[in-house]
Amino acid sequence: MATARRSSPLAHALATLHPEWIEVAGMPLAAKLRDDHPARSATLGICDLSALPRIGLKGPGAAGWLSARGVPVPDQPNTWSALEGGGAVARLARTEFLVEDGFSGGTVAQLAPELKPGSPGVYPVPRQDCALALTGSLVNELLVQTCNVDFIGHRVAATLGGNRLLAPVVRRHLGPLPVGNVDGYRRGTGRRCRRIRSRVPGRATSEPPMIHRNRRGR
Amino acid sequence: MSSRLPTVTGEWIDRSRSVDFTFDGNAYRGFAGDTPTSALWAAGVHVLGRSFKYHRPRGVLSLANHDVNTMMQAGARLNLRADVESLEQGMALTSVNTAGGASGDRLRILNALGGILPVGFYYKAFHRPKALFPFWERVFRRITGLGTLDFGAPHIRTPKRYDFCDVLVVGAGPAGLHAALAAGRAGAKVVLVDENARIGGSLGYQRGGSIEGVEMLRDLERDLADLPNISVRPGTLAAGYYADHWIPLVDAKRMTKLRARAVIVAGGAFEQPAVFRNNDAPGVMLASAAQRLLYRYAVKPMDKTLVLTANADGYRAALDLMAHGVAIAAVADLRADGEPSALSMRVKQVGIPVLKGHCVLEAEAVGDRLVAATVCPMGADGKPDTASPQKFACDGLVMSVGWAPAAALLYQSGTRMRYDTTTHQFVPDHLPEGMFACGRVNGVYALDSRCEDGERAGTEAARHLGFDTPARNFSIAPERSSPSHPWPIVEHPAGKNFVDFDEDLHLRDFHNAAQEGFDNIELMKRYTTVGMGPSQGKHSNMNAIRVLARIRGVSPAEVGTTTARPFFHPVPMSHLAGRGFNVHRETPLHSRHDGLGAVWMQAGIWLRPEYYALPGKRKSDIVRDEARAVRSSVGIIDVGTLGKMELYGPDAGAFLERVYTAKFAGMKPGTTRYAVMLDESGVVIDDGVVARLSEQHFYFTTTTTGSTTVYRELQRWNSQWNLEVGIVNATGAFAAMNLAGPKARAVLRKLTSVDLSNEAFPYLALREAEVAGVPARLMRVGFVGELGYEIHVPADRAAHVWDALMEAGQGDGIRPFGVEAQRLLRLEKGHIIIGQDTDGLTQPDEAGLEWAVKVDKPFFVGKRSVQIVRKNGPRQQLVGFELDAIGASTTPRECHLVVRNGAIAGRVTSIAWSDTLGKHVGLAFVAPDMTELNSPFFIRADGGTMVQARVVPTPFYDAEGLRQKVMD
Repeated sequence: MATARRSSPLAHALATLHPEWIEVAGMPLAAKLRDDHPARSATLGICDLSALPRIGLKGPGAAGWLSARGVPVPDQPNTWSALEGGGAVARLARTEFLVEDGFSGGTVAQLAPELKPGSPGVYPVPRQDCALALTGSLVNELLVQTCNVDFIGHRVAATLGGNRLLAPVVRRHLGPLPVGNVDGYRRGTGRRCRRIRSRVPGRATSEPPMIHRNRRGR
Repeated sequence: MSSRLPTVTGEWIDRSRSVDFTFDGNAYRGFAGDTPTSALWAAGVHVLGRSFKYHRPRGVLSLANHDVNTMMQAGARLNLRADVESLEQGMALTSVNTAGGASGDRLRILNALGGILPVGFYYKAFHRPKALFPFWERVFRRITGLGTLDFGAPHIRTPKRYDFCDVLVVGAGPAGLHAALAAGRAGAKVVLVDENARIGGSLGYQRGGSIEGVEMLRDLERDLADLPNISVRPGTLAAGYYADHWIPLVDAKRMTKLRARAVIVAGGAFEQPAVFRNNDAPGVMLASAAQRLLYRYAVKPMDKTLVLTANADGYRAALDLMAHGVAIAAVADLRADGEPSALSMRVKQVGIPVLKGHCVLEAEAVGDRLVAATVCPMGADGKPDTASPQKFACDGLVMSVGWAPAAALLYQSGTRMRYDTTTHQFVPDHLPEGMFACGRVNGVYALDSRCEDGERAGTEAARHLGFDTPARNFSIAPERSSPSHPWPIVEHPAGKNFVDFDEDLHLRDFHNAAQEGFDNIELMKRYTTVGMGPSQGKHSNMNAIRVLARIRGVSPAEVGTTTARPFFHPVPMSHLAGRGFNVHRETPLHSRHDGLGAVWMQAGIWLRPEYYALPGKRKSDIVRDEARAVRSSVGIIDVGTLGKMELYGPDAGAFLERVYTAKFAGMKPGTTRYAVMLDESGVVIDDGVVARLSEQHFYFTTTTTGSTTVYRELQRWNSQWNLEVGIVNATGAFAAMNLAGPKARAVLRKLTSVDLSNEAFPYLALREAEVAGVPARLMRVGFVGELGYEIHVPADRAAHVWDALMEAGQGDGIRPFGVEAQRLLRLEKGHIIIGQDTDGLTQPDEAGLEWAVKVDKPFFVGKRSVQIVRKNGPRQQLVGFELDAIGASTTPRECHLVVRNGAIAGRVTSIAWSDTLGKHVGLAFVAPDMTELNSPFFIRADGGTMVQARVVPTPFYDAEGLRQKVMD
């Protein structure tokens, strides 16, 4: 029997775009598409990052549970804290959190085995998100045409209900896609790496927002 | 002959770029920056349209899109507002509502028949004989249309946009500009919109022979340019107001939904026409329209004019017209004392005769053009003294007798308005939080006062939002005289003194309406249709209020206003439709279904395979084959669209006891239970299967369409009950598939190590185990009436599990089946679908669910209602039925009515042909006294055919349920 591989909700759509796959946390991730063009993605790029490891939890004890494990807990709903390796902890509501690793970092791997039913006031939220990174100079223009939340100038983690899909959005710096000597990831070529950098620029001035869409909407 | 003037300071046209266009087939040339109206007027074309009812010739009235005299069509584009739309190269414009074009409209004969076509004539004249009504309807629609719809017009995908600001300022006249600057200087992010192509409002055209206003505008534009936090958006209409300062901004390309923290309404006022005989003749226009022609488009409106006025603006207009070569026959001032300001002296100094206390009795047109106007004294009672009329030859007549506030957004925001007797207009009395008003809409007219009022509003809005700007005392001087005359209306025995130009309503129509008893403003509006045309009463509502007030002998304040609903101005349908964002959800197995030839159907928000197409096979045959595979071998269906909830916590069991009708306290981990959910009125709203994974952990399903509602309801309930539970909507996190059929166990056994024997894993049990190496929750259920396992796995590994099951079942002929086959299979078992076999009133007992309702529990939602309803007995009863005639040519369908003695006695909720049973079976609601087994009843099928059915017991198939409980 074949090994059970994870697959992105967008795998089928991406397959038609002639991708070059890398594997991230057991899921193929389209690192490069045949028609990628740096100039175009610098204007407006989209990247499927569903593969990134993530967990969710809620309940009156959730904040304390995270703190007890050394995770920096954001003070307010709709804000987020950074994790090592490009990850983030987003406070989606007063008592609900989303923890996501970046391309490196092992917070999720550390927390996941401990997050089981039974801890008083701490309830696991299964996360099977379609996660998208948007990048480029027209990101805000895209967002104002599709979301009814003001992102401009805000370091925001928001749960959106625009257009009938609920999606947490985190505006943060992700850095380039890992295709070099990163544990757990398949090696890529230098050329591919440059192309990918252009799709997800690492400059703080053009932080791409992360949009999580709980698998086909939540 | 061209009426284009030499270059005018501040003109909007670009004389270096000419624009060629046609109107009703004739070629014309204008300039870039022109509108069709201005270019045609400059070219000497004065009949720009025909009126709606009498087909009277119409020219410029407001030149501000406040009337529809100049509504045109440009190819597929309907309702083109020629007063304000930009003239485009090659435009082929046609007049609307004519037979033969605006100038030669053959339907103008209707004007002569006006005497027999009073308001409301169609209500009385054409409803009998009834058979002729469609004929008359077609006739009237043809002769009163507003353009010809082109069904081949391309679908315009108009983008939408969201936007956000601290302060929205509506209107960029002097008040709005000062408001925006004050708020912007305080640090607020300001959006300033104006419906006109350029900002400035009356500063640009109400000049009074001076260029002070133009210079002020230039200074203000420089100030705006220095403040990057002010976004200036001309050509943008704030079309309505919605709660929490949500404003749709409409421009040529799109609608922007803007959320403001505060709104300043500085929308000004609509100039109002005077009412006198033939006040609609081409050449009779509002003073502000004549000034716009002069200063925006450098067009001389007429050669010689009479000025009818009742305020300072009319005197300014006289000076403006004279400065550009228009001869002024006289100024007729409705006020006995005339104009109190220095403008009066300036007018006299340039030799313009002023007739105080005079009105225009009638205008006279020859052909389609004004040639003279008759003026006479106006008595103290507001009636004309016709003893000594004076006739003035003129080809123009400008009116400036009053204003009506552009207060639609204020009304919509909940502003309380009052009628101010010093300005004779409605003004804001109490503004909701975050709403501000300034300028003419606030009853402030003098230019200095408007600037001051704007600054006040901007400062107050900024301070309201917490911006640190110093408090100031603003001093707004009271108006020296009223800008509006309380009765600019002159009766005439021959009528045609129009109050509403859109709908051709003249004064007599209002008297007739009142005589018929429609003497309330809302009733009068509906009977006369005043204000119901495309202009939405901008030029007519205020005069209609005055007329009704006089008829009833009360004040305008007592008459009140009609309701102002958004949008206050028409918005193109393409803008409202916008880009399509109709979301559908796909399960993680979507691509697998695609590969198998799925034919998709919508199930709530989801796409589900209806069946899997096969070349050369009909849908009905395929569905029967898919069902047969389940009955005889093994089938698999994607049920991932079911709502899936996790429930944690020490009170989880108690919580379920409250929200579902069944009992859960004694439920053991590893078991499942059918569950029905009611609302507070006892109506069945959802059902599903509850599984207990551990003492404090449940997992349960809802219907496909119910998951969001159920999740929301559960959260709402627990916010009241405050039980210690955590509710998680895991619908998207899990995929689910139902493996069903006599060979299901054999197939599943190849992929899991869990003991599937009947003893170890009995019917209705739950097990957590790996399937194809993926952690899964297995529930042994029987929705389709066969041995079956519902397999729930993490969504990201669903495709792997599906592939493994398909491969494992290959030898047993596994077949994917769609929703249609599932509906048939469950119907054979008599299992109901909530929402199909129930409706918004169905009580559990009526749907045969009384066995699932445990009223001996202390509480569950809907219990009290169920007990009350049980005392009264059911309203209807769901029964199983089969058709008497096998293979009948007409078969009833879902929702066909059960008929008894000619009356409705119920309806069919489900029906299908069952190959397994060899007959049509179904479920139907019938009257409670029609439930006796084997009793016949009739269903009215298509075409009225009555089909006999017979009540039979359910399940139709495997009544003992042995197949789903099948032993190993």
